[in-house]
Amino acid sequence: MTPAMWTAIVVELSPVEAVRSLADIGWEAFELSTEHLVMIADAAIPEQAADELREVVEELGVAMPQAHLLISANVATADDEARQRDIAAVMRQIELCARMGIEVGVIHPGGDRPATLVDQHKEEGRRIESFAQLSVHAGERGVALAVENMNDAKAGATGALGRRTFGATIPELHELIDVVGAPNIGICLDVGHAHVQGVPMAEAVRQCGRRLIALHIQDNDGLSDQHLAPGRGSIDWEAGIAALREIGYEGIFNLEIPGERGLPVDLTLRRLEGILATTRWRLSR
Amino acid sequence: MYTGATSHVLMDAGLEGSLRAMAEMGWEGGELALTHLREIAGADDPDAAADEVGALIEELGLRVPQVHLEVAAMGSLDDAQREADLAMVERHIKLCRRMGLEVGVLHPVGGMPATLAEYRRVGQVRIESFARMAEFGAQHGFSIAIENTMDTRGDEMSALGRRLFGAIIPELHEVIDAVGADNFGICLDTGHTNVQGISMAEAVRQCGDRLIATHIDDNHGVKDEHIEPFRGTIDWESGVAALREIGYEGIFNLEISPARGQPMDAQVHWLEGVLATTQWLLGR
Repeated sequence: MTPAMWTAIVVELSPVEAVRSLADIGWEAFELSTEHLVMIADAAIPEQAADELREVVEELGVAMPQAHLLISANVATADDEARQRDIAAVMRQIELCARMGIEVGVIHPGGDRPATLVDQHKEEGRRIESFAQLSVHAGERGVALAVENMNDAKAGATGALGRRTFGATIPELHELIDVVGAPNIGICLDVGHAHVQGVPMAEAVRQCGRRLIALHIQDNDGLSDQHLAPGRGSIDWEAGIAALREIGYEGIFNLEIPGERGLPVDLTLRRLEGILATTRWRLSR
Repeated sequence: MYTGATSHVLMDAGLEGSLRAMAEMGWEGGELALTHLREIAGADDPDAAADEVGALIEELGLRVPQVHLEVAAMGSLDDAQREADLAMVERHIKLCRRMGLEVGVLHPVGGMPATLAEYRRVGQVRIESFARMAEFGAQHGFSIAIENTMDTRGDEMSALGRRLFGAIIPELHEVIDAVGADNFGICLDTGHTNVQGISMAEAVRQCGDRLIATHIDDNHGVKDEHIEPFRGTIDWESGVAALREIGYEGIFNLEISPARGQPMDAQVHWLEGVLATTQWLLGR
């Protein structure tokens, strides 16, 4: 497993600058963040921006195998107009990802927490339909979709199933993948989300099994989704990494740690040098 | 629908004292509390104790259709523990029938299995246990009601983290569908659904015609307080309307914590107020 960094850790920089800066301090692999993907899609000539980033990645000899597709996309929402708009945006991002040689796009399962069971079932239908549509579009371009695990709400959330959020458990992701039945859909395990949910990283990894195709590595105290660097929370990393090896995961060990942002870029990069050293040590044990 | 309260509501008065006080106040019925069921089962002559309670209920003209059965290890993978618990519930059902009780409430207990494989085994064992209880109940003219639970917020975790089986109504329907017995329905605990974030009205509709028992209690949506209606945040008007909408005609049974520690006359006054509020709620 190669340590990797999600590029929005330096969201102040352009995609090219972000990759160059992170590569300069030793990071060898990246997840292209939603923010940077949006910058590329919004460029005057998006294809040119995508090609430029691909060339830089190749020039630097680093890898960028995954991207976070539109984080705000809700492909299961009951708002038809919003859903179609989000699907179109995600499809466009998939096209750009394919152009950049990105193989996996991470996507959230979406949903509105409907008030009635009838609407809950309708939402499930929309989610399946959207993922089927997106998987075909991605498959035609050689891209796989990785549906990410969520976590249940703590309190105050209401709905037909109360505080429960679709995708907060790994079996729910498997159910979605089984129903869609496309070969290019797998799971992005966010180990921090699983930890808040109360599922140990090692158990979550084993539940994903061979469908694990992307990782969001982050730590927290088990109470809220803090997105901190590994070791700053209470996840059992040794057992979790051992489980990744046990299931034969060989993808990138991608840190998604916005909880470490907030400093000027040069200081963030200094901090990331230490995080890289720690991550390499964890993966070498 | 008619008014009722679980018999521990005047715990300090004992079972006979509670039932007599409730009847005198004007409660129409009740649920036999687990603590009282245990006392009857633990008597020197349980059958005679049960017959006495049955006679008392008849004398008072109370309608006591439901009982809270033991919190048995329905989904436990410990075969000996599960067998012991199920055998005890069977003995208790026989006693309940002697008292004229008709519906027994059971929790879908299954522990917190650490792996998905164990979680699935627990699910299968739970179905088998409920099937056995439903079959035993059917042989004795008795129904089983599975009660909704709540996801946890504590440190105890399963392979699905803080999720606890039975916290949402569709999971109860899954067990009932799998068992496929006519005498197997749902006990809706309105407080548990409120903590879970499900409105009472929606929960009632989700139960539909499988609703055969009620645990009516309120809270503030954060923890399971078992306080009387209107002291928490449940929308009682829409909840009771939903009960009428689905055609529920059973007991509106308050499973609320007793006002222990106060003088008995104060406890009685408190319960009279609770009854008046309940009658007002159901009479609207």
